[in-house]
Amino acid sequence: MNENNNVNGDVTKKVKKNILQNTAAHIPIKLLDTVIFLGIAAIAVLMFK
Amino acid sequence: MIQKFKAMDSREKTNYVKEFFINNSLYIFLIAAVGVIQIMSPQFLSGPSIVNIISLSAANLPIALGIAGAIILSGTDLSAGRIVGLVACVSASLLQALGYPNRMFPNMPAIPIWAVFLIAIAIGAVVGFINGFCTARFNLHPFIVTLSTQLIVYGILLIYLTMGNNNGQSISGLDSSYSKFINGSFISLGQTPIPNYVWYSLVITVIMWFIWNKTAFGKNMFAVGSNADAATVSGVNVKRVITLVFTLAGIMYGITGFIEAARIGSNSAATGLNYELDAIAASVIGGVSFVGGIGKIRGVIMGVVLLRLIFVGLTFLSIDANMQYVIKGLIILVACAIDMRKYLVRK
Repeated sequence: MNENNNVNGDVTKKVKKNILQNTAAHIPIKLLDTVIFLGIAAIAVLMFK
Repeated sequence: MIQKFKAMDSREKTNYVKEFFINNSLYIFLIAAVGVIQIMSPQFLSGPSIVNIISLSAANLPIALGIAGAIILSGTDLSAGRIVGLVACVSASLLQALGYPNRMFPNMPAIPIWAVFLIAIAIGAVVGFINGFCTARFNLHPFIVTLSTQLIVYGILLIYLTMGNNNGQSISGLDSSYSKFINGSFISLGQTPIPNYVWYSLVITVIMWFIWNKTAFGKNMFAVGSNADAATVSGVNVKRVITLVFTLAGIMYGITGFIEAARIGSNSAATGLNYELDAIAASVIGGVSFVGGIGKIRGVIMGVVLLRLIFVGLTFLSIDANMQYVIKGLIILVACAIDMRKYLVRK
């Protein structure tokens, strides 16, 4: 029983870790989208102000 | 492609369109910017201006093709501009007109153009080989290897410029046959002649396309760039490939230097300065990924032409030269962000 609980606990930890990693993986993409958008906007302003 | 798009549900379609626009946002913006510049300044895309843009792009294309190879290996090459400068000064000094009063080597007999061309290629190949050899054999990052060769080459260039009767002056007074060989023209667009080096650049591009896409070396280059360990396991001689890619890049810089010497006519220690930065920018804009293993010749061509269009466009818009550096830097930053985003999405 204890062994089963330990195994389940490890699995839960792994799943939690994976979820955290996957969520973290999306943050740079959104950040990069912002950098791309702001960058293009800045170029446009500097070129055509 | 269209059938694949039709088969998607509405959510997938929205996602696909969103990804398309983000991945190509810089292209879309730059093309739109060209359109706006044309409306604001109708002379921008006139015959002479188009020939000027094509000529400037052609002059920068070989160096960009060389650097793109290094970037595909997830490296870079900072020595490119200085190699171009050294080769340009050597070529110019060896091909000065015999009657020119300030000849660098007054007693030197006339040397045929093809011999100087071979010397130019040899200089580029030797420095490129050193870059590749140190990177591959000693497992050093190309950034630091090429930074050191950049300084070495610049030092050699400065020493070379003080040799003979030159005393550090610019090298000019080139032989007319050399100038004609590079800057001469046999075809015109309207009234504006297209210089010969545009055609040389075209030939070099075709050769590079063949090497990248149709040879085992080209395939190995992409394999090493994607995953060097996997390439090693597959039997690819990774060290040899890296050395050859940098040597090939060196040859490209040699050719660029040979062309550049006659194109600008007066060569000094400043020749080739920062050329590598424009070439790296053009490669990244053209979709050559810093992550490695990704890049196409047509992308490099597009990157070089688009960048040149924007630089010429900025001049047409009368934008301050200092501000042009800021815009250039921002374009590179956005291109790198898009490149990294594509990589993260794939992952």
